[in-house]
Amino acid sequence: MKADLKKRLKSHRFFEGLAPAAVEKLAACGRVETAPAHATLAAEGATADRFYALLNGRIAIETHVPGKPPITLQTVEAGDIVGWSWVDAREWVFDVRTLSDCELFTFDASRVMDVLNDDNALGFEIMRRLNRVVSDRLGATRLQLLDIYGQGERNG
Amino acid sequence: MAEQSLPAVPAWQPQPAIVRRVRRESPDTVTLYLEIPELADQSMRRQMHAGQFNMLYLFGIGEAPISISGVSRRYVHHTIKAAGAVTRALTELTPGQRVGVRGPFGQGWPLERARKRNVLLIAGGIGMAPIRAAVRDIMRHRGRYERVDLVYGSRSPADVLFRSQLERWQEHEDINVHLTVDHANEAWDGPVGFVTAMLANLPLDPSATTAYLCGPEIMMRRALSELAHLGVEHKDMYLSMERNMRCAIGICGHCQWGADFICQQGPIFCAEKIRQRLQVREL
Repeated sequence: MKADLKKRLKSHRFFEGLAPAAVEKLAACGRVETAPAHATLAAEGATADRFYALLNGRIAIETHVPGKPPITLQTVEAGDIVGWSWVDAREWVFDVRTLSDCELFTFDASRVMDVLNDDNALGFEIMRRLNRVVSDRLGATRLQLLDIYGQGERNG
Repeated sequence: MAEQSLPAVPAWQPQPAIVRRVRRESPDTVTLYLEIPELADQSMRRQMHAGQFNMLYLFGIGEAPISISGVSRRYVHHTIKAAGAVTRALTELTPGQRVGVRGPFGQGWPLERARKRNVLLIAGGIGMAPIRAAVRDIMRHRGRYERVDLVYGSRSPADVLFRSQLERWQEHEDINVHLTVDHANEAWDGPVGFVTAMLANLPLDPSATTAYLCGPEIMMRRALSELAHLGVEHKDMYLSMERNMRCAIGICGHCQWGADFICQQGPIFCAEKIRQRLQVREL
């Protein structure tokens, strides 16, 4: 079971290429879980004590407006990471909800932080990868805000 | 580039075409199915090619360049988004009405470059129109290609073009359709996010993939960058460019882009040729 856990984590896009010892350390900080469609994985304002590596399924990152249905800001798929507020021990900024049956690797954030504090090289590598995720999502969000399909140069 | 046929009539002379069918694709976009009597004795497929464009002329209103969104034996399809006076009037046409057609112009999608390879088509917004024409060609000759993926980003669920056709392709044809929207509503349970965010999750074999892109230039620049990061070479990526086409025969210079006229050498360009030019802000 433990070997299978490491194998699955190593095949996840975020962890690809990490040394086996590093994967082993990180795998020890979490577990594989399943969640049915429409399950709430995180709620805005709650302590960000975990993060997720999505193995299968689709997850929505949402916010809420009083009296209205939730607004989906972005969805993520297998191979993606959900949650970075744990890095500086903050609260979840958005809601996280499954859109389909999901399989996830759930990490205990405080245990991961202990590992990264003990192994600074691994800590730097994880922060570098996390920065890429944050940077990609920020770039995509900026383009979504531009509404480029609504005012493009092309009309047909 | 694909082998092109020359216009059968003088390129500056609009031919009368009859609107045979109108299909509403979204609140501001329609597809016109045009019959051109002058070409009735020849198959339309020999005359018009995916990736090329026609100039559509409404008498007393004006003319606009519109890409070909499909070709059937008798009809050429044009999908038009209402934006200015001419395109708005084009979207208000009804079956039986007439429109002037000049063309076809420009170079089509070089689909022969993808033979025995994986095909990745990336479309954004109304850029799905010329990509649809490419998909129809690919589906007609499906055995020539390996895996085919279509990644299509739209503003919202209501703005998704060719919805029923996309569903049909996904269910009955050998093509993987990946649809995403920038802004979702309550009823939408599909992917939400910018179109380039979907690329990293594709099972991409970069050295065996040929990519065809059409959409807003910002989107295509981001997609090129992402594909290059994933290992696809620029020589294997083709873009459909858009500028202010007026005469469409390389005389007026309105669509000049660097050393090329988009109406003649384009609108389809290999990324290897134009990637530096895409970063020149004055062009």
